[in-house]
Amino acid sequence: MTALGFLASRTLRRNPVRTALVVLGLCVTGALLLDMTMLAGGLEASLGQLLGRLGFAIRVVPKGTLPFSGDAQIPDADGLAAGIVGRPGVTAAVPVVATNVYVGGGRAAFASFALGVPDGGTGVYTVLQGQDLPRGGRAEPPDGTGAAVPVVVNRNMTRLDGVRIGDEVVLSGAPVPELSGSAGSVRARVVGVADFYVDLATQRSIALRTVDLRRVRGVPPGAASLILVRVSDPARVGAVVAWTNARDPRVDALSVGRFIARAGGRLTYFNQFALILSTLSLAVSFLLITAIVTLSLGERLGEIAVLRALGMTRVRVGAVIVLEGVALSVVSLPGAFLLGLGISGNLDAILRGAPGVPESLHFFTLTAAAVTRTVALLIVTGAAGGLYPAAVASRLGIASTLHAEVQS
Amino acid sequence: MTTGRDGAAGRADPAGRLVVSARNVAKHYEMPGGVVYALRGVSLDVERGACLAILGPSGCGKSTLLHLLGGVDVPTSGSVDVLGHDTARLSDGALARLRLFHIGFVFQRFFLLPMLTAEENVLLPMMEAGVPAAERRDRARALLGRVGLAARVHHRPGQLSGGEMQRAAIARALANQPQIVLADEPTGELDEATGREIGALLHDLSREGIAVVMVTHNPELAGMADRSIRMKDGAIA
Repeated sequence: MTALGFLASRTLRRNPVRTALVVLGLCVTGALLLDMTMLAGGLEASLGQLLGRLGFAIRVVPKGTLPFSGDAQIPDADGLAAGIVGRPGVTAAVPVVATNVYVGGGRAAFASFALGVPDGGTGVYTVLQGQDLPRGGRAEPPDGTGAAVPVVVNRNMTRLDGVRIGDEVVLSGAPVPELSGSAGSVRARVVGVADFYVDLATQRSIALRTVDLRRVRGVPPGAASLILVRVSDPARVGAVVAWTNARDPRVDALSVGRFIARAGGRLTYFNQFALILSTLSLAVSFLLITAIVTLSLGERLGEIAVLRALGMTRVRVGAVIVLEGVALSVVSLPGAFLLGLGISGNLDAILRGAPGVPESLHFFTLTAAAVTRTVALLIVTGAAGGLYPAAVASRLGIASTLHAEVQS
Repeated sequence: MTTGRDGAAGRADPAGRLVVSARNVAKHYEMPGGVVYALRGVSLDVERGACLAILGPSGCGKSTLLHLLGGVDVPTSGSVDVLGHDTARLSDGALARLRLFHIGFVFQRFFLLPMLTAEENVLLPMMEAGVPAAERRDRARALLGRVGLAARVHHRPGQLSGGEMQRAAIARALANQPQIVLADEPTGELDEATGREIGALLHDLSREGIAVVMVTHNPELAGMADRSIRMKDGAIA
């Protein structure tokens, strides 16, 4: 160990109770800093993880929108999807209709989010029990006289409404079928239970074939809310995006990165909130370190003068003091992380309980970037906190300080 | 060794025996009540292996002179050469290295670092000087053994008596094998018998070729030196 590290560590152990109290304080401010760095990019990181699970590299949405953010439609989604799937590297282009339907015929009538997909096996959801939607097949007539259409429901519907595989329900575009207007209603049979990825905490979701959903909701033929594109070669994403945007100026083709950036742009209040609290946390950490190191220095001016007399330069004496600040930060890191993770878990649960938050999304996400940023900020704060007392120590006159010590 | 009140007292050193040479040194302090003249034109030579005592009443400037000789302060006018280096012309880093490698300090109040053991206090200057770990450990043990603290190496200053603390401070002063040891009232906090032991220890150092300069009120300690000078009102009397 060098003389600097040796002196800094021994100085901190000199008054263990005081050091422990300061470290505890830094654990609290460090925990807040960690939480805020997790919050600052948490939703984007969580969204990125979710999108990674889904596996679609491109989302084509009506211009200026985000998926599932409104009723806007892509007028010729089927045609555009057919064009996209013919591009090099594209393995699938799935037009998805997203809307709401009313589910009746069971023990109760309730509204449900509905996804219309061309066929089963598109990967928009994952079947947990039973079967997926069949591939191919024809649309059933709107009067409900045909065979029941197959549907897949989410776990909320089974849990909250008692819907089971094999049950028959009626899907309609209005709470009362007579109000459905041009839309109709269909009889549906539950064939499977699935995880829909972006479900809200108590949201009911149902998936059925696009043709059936268009009929129930009166969606024009060929229209869809978005197109999900799967690409075999990530290097081709840019070309497919460019081709799609050029092919139809009414849409935005978003790569995962652009999608996250657009979503992040709508979440700036979280970043501002995190920035303000991070700044406060750093300010408190800085003041805590500066105060304690300055106080400690004031108690050992004679020792500093002796170190100088023994042959330590001004710069190295200053470095010892800065190192003390850094050491306080470093020692507090494990506690800060433990506390921060505990607090973020609780805060995340509270925020995710708010209406309109998909179950799979997290506000606080522990990423390598958040860890690195927190550690770096705390260490820099420790060093900055030691700068003022270091300047005081390095400016001390050796002779005058020794004289004052002897006189005291 | 030569001493004098003005620059003319200095002399050439063809044999290279001088380790410290002060020439017409003055030190002034600007204070709120006016200028304080701590030293007025002091000249002093210290040769290798000399044991010099500086006597005088409080406030006569003897500690100020010691600080100038040790390079912890620089004169307002005149010059102090330590091992051929004019201290006023050296950078802070160079002056620090001069103190680290060539000068050992012993203080009235010992000024051992309280959070370190006796051994660690002795190790510290060697760590700063970059002495390899094994060598500095051996050297620290040897030095503490020499000053009679072999059984107290792991004791902190608070667990040592005044005499033991001063012995540890002397061991620390010798850590980097200096050519000069400067002691400011080394027996000021000690009883008579212990002071005599410390005085003998310092005197022994000069027999080994180390120049020892002691500032003291204690006539008995001064009597153990090869030579003593008396100061009054910032000048050599």
